Amino acid sequence: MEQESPRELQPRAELQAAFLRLGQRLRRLAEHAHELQRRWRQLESEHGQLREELARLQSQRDSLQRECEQLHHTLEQQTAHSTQLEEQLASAQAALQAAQQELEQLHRLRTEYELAQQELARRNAELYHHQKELERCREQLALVSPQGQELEELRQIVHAQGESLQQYSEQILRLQQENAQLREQLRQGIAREQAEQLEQQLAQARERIQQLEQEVQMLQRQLLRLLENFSELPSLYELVGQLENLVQQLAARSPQPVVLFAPEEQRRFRQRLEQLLQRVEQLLGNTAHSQKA
Amino acid sequence: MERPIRVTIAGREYVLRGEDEEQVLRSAQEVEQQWKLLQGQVPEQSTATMAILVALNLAEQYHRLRRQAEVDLHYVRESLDRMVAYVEEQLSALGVGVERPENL
Repeated sequence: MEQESPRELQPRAELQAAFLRLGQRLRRLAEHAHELQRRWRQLESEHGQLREELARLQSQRDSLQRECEQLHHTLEQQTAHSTQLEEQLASAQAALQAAQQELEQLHRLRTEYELAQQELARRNAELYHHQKELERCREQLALVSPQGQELEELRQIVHAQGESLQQYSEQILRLQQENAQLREQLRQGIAREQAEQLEQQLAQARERIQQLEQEVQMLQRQLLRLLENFSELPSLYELVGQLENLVQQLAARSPQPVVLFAPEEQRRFRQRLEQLLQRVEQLLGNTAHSQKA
Repeated sequence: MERPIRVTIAGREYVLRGEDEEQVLRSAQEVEQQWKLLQGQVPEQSTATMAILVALNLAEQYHRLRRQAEVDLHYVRESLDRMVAYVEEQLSALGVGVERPENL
């Protein structure tokens, strides 16, 4: 029989080997746990950094969002302001255009004003000369006033010739009316081309009539002015010459010869005027001798 | 209902009863092996003496295995204690607190 001491007994080898493997595996697990813990702490650190970065980015995003909203608000205000400025610009351009037009009008008015000033100066000079001439005529009239009866006769003759001129004007008016009637008749009765041609001829004739009428009116005014200012004529010789010129002008411009004075009346009128002029000169000579005496 | 188990030990048949038939057969086989081992070592002994010797060998074998089991159990407990201490030390180093189970 075998006698073994309890002290000599050892744990079974397979049990020791199993525990040895278990211990080695446990150490590897511990090392792996430490590695995992390091990795975990590293990930925690990275997680914290990422969270901080995320918080910073969120803060930046909020700030940018606020800034974007502010810029958007500013953009809306600037857009509204721009629209208002465009409206003001359009209004200012319209005002500027109106001002330019008014400025051009002002330049025209200034030019006209300068021309009017020149015309005024010229007419003032003419007025001065006319006043001087009027004074001289008044002095001569004072000298020839005793011959008032002959002058009154002369005035009546000239007035009669003015009436004949008025009759001549009425004849022209009747001719115009007849021309208008003829034009209407021609327009109704002839072809268009002939009507146009006749209208042109009528227009030319009408222009000619208007010119004649204006000339007659001008001669009438001159004659009436002569009648009104007869007492202020510078001399009888000039009066006779102007009347002759009037007769010649009327005769030259009238389609039909107009005779203001018959040749015999004209000679008689000239003789009377020459006699009257000689008497006036005689009176003037007597007056001068009496003043010398 | 237990049924009878027939075994043969030292050339003689026995009818036994037990809950575990395989356990009964293996135990009978072990007794038969010890019988044959002693019969070769100490021949010319009576059946009673051989029976006593077989019983003594089996008892010695039982005590030896029981002692080995105690040593193994002691070794297992010490090893587990060291492992638990090592695990606790590592967990403490890792900063992880773990409650010790009541059976350790």
